[in-house]
Amino acid sequence: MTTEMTEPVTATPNAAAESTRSALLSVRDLQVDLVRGESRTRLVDGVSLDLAAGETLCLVGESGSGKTLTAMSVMQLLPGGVEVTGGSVELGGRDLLRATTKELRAVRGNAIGLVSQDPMTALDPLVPVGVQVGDAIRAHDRRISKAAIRARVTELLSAVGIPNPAANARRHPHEFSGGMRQRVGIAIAMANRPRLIIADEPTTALDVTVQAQILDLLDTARRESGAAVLLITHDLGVVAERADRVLVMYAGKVVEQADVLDLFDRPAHAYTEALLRCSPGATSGAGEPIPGTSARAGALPTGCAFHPRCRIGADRPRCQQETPALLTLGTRHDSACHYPAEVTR
Amino acid sequence: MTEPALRLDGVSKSFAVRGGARTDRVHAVRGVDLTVLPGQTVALVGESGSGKSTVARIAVRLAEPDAGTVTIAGRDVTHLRPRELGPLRRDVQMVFQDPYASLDPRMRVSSILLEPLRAHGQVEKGTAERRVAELLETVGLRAEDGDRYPHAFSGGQRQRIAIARALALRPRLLVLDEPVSALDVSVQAQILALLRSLQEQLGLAYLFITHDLHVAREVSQRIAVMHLGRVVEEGTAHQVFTDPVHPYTRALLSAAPVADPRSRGTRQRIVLSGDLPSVLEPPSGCGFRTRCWLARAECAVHDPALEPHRSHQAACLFPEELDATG
Repeated sequence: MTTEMTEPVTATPNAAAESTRSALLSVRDLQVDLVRGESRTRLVDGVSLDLAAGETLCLVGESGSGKTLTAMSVMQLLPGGVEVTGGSVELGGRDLLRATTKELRAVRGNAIGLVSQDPMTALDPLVPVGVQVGDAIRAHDRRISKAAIRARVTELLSAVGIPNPAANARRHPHEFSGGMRQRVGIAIAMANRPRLIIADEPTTALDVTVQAQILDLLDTARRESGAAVLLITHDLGVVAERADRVLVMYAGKVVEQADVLDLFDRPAHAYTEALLRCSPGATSGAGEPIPGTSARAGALPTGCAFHPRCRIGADRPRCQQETPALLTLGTRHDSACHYPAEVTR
Repeated sequence: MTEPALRLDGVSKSFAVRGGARTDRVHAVRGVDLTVLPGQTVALVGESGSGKSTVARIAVRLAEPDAGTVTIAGRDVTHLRPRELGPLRRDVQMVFQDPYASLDPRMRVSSILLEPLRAHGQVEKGTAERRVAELLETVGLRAEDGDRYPHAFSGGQRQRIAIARALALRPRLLVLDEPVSALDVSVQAQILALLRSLQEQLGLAYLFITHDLHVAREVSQRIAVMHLGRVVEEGTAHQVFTDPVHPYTRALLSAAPVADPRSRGTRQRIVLSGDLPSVLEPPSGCGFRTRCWLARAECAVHDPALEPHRSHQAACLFPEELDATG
C-alpha cells in the first residue's frame, strides 16, 4: 500500500459490501496468442467473466483448454511467447492490461494472491518458510518493522493451521509435507489481505484427505477476508463442493457458464454434459468416455470445436460449419451450443 | 479350483534410508496378504506413502520381499533370481502412471511394441508387422501408427501404446500403477473402458493401484485399502463402499469430492486433522491412531491384524464404534 496505484484496489469494508453486487474482477473478450515470428496461434479466444467479492468462480476444462492462461492473464504472468492480444481485465475498475510493470508489481501478491499447483516449486528451497512469508509482506510495505513482520508471519502461519508457527517459520520447505507446504503457499497468498485469490489446481498434487483440508482453508480465508476466489480445477467433484459459479472452457473458449446448481441440474452444452457423464463419481452414467482427443490450438476443427467428439453435433452440418456464439439462455446461464435443448443430464 | 493369478502371503519389505550419521529402516510394506483371481480386478487404494507402489513392484518382482511369499499362477516366485524371471515377465506385465516417461521418445511405436517380444525371443520373421498391427488395433489405435514416434501422440494415446506393449507377451496379469492419474477425465474414462473390454476379451487379471476411490469403485470387484504399509480393510467394492469398517476407509470415502452440488452440507464429512504419519517414525500400535477420532489408549499399544468384521475384513480394534457414530 505504499504506491498510489494500489489505492483503488485495496479492500475497504464498504467497497467489499458494494462489490457483492458489481464485479470485482471483470474480464472482457480476452484474447491470448502464442506469437512466433509472423505466426500467431490463438490460445484463449474471447473469454469474458465477472467475479464478485466473496464469490468462488471455478474455471473448468481439460488440459489445453486455456483455463490457466485465462487466470494468468489477470496476473499478466504468461509464459514467454504468449501474449494478451485483445480485450480488457479490470480489477476494482482499473484496467490491468494497461498498467505499467511497476503498477502490476504492486497488484501481484497484494491485491491478488496466487496459490499454485505445486507448492514445492513455488517455494524457494533454500529459504526458511517464515522468511518467504515475510518477504511477501515486505514487498508491499517497505516501512514495516521486523517485529511487526515477525508477528504477522506467526499470525498467518497459525491461521493456515501450521502448528508451532514461531518455530516452524524457521524450517525449510523440504521439512514439510505437501499439505503443509500448500498451507504455507496459502499464507503467502493471503499475506497482504488480497481482494482476489487465484488458485490454480491447488489440491491436484495432494492426497485426498489433505485436499479437503486445503479447500476448507481457502473457503475460510475467503469468508473471513471477503476476497473473491478464482479456482481452476479439472475436478467436477471440487466444483460441485466449492463453486458459486462455474465457467466451462473448451479449446480456448467459454462454452458454458452458470451458477453451480444450474450447471449440474440443467447443463446446456454438449461438452458439459459429456464431462458430467465421464467424471468418475458423477451421479449419473459415471465413466462414460468422450470419444476422440481434445481439440488442439492451431488445429481446431471448423464450426463448433467440440463437434467431432459430440454426441449431438458430430454429423450435423450446422455444428461442423457454424461457430456457435455464447448466448444467454436463462438467469445467469450462457451456452455456446447450437442445440442446448437436446442436452440432457 | 482355479489358481489365483497373483497371491501375496505376509509380504513385507523395508528399505535402508541414510540420514546423516545413522541409517534408518523404512518399513514400506508390512505383512500384506492379497489375492487376485484370473479375470478379476483388485484395486489397491491408499495415499502417498501407504506402500501401494511397493506392493506393485513386489508383485512383478521388480523388488524382492524381505518376508512372505509371492505366488504367480501357482508358482512361488518370491526369491527367483533375475535370470530366472523370464517366464514370470511373460505372465505379468506392468503399466506405469506417466506415459510420457515410460515410452522411449527415440523409438518408433512399432519398435516399442516389439521390444518385449525380442527380449523373449518371440519375434518371427514376417509375423512381426502383423503382431504390431494387431496390438495397435487391440488398444484402439491404427496399424499405421506403428511408424510414428511417441511425441506424435496425446497422453491418452500414449497410455494405449503402453498398454499394447504390456499385452505383447500375452500376460495373464497386469499390474497397473495409477494408469489414469496423469490423464484428463474424458480420456481417463476412455482408458478405463479399454481396460474393461480387454479384460473381457482376454480374461486378464488386474492389480489396479490408485489413490482415487471413484476410479477404484468403477474398475474393481475387490478393494484393499492400504495405510502406512498395511492393508487395513479388504472386501468387495460394494462392501467397502457401502459398509466401510475401518475409520480410515470412512475418512477416505468422505473426503473424496462428490460431483453433486446438492449433496453439499448434507453429506457427513470427516476431515482428518494432520498429515499421514511419516513411515520413518510410525506411531506405536495402530498406524492410523494419530489421526483417528475414535482412538483409545489401547490403540497405542496393539497393532490390529486384518480380521473378519461384519461382511468383510478390517484391521481395527474398535470397529463397532463406527455403528454408534455413523
